[in-house]
Amino acid sequence: MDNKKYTVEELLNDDSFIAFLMDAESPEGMEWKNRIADNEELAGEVAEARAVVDSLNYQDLSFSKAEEDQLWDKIAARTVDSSTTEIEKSGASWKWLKIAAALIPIVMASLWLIDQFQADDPVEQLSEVMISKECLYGRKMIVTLPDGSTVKLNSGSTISYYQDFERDVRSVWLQGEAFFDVKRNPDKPFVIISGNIRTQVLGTSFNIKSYEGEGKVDVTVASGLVSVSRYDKSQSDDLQWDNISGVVLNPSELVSYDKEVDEFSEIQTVDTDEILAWKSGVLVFKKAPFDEIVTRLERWYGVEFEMEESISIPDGFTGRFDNKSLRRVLEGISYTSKFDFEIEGKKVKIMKQ
Amino acid sequence: MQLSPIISQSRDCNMIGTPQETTEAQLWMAFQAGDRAAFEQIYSTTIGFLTNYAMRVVSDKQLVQDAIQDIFVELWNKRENLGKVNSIRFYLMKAVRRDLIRKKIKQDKNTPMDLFRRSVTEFQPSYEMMKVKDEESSEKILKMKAMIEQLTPRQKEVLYLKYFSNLTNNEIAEILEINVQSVYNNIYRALEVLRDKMHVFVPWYLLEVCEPFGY
Repeated sequence: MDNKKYTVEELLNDDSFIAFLMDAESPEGMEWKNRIADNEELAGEVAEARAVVDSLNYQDLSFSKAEEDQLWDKIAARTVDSSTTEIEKSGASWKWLKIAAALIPIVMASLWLIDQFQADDPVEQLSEVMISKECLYGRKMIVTLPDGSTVKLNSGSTISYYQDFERDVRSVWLQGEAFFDVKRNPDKPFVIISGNIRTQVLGTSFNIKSYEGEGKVDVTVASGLVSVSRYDKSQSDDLQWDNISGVVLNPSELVSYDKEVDEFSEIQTVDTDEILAWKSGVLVFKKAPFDEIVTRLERWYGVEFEMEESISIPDGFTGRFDNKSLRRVLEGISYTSKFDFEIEGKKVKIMKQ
Repeated sequence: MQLSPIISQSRDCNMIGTPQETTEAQLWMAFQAGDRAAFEQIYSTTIGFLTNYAMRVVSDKQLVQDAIQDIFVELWNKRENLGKVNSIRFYLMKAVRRDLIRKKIKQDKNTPMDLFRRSVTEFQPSYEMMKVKDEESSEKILKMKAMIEQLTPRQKEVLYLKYFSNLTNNEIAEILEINVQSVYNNIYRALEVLRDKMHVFVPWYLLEVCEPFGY
């Protein structure tokens, strides 16, 4: 019979094949059914073509029945006067419809106002108690959220969430650095707000670094998929998925958001072991200038540095300390960079050599 | 062979595949003669599809409502002067799209503050990620979304019109106001991107069944 070969592209450009995909019982569909039955070699291409179309997976964005009816009422109200006899009978109801239509904006505005007042009402806000967990300098902390997801907080980081955490979306606010292991729940996306960056997932593990005073927010994915986009504070009640701005990260990918210029970097492939090392008590420096070393050691060990002037380290310091004491770390760094140090309790004195 | 669930669920497919030309032509004639029931029927059989499409062209409900309202009002007022229509749905899609873009441009002029708006239309396939029942397919949809993001808005719209509206390339060209060759080109390039990504994507997807790591 028909042993013509088709490529996937040819299939997907063939109107009769598309008709078959949409309705296998249509005349074209039946024809294709027979053609595939007779030609086994075609099966692979057909399956692939179908997968491509399935992958498009369009969501139904059409209006609800109520919205459709409402819209029709408006159209009917605007087209009625040029029509004929039957309108005489129902003229009164059209008039009412017009009035009702005119009232809609007023009702909407009132609802909006009521909403605004409620938002400002302190009594109303009591039902939205915010819980905060702060991980002090020199500490690490594991927080288990009400849904069973765990968050490991790095030193000097805070996580907050509403008491009724599992409302529509599971949302948390992060300041600092944390590793998230999110329990899967497709009905309730997990959203992390860190500054003006929103990270959204269904269930995965990933790291966010967003310290105040640092010019960027880094998001790194360990497993699963994560979407990162801007977060507009003025629309804070709308935590829904924003499909306009943002990027989707795969495992081992990092995106960096520059707070200064309000831009995302290109997605980079990174060594997640290195980025997640902090979880297991490993301190990693990569071409770190002295100021960065100080900030991080202050956080990590909960100490304060004292120094006359900053130390310049050409090319920065690169090194890895696996669960080492502050003394060992400082010895390691001072070995290659020219400074002496003294540790007195929670104070670290740095002296130029 | 079974129909894929996604396609068979889609409501706009009810109208596809069995175009009963006589009834559609009759409906149109009745409407032109001023039959309000026919007018209402045109509305009720096309509105689902129209809103579904229009919401992708601009994701602004108010704008979509305004455009559809205006188009139907105009349709009624000018019914006697309208010509013969082969496909009511196609005719309305074209009209609604044109009106939406006109309104959108006008609106953009009035709100120059919007930093995030890049072009007049950012065609959005929009994945139903919130409503998916099982986890596996949510992951899949996220992945697919990432894949589709690689396409240009025009490619996305062409694919939508081609595979979910069952329009011919000529009709697509007319709606988008581009030539037929460029419809072909867009479809080819889009499919190339999708297939390319699919090959990379399948093995990873199978691996994803493994537990995400813990402490």
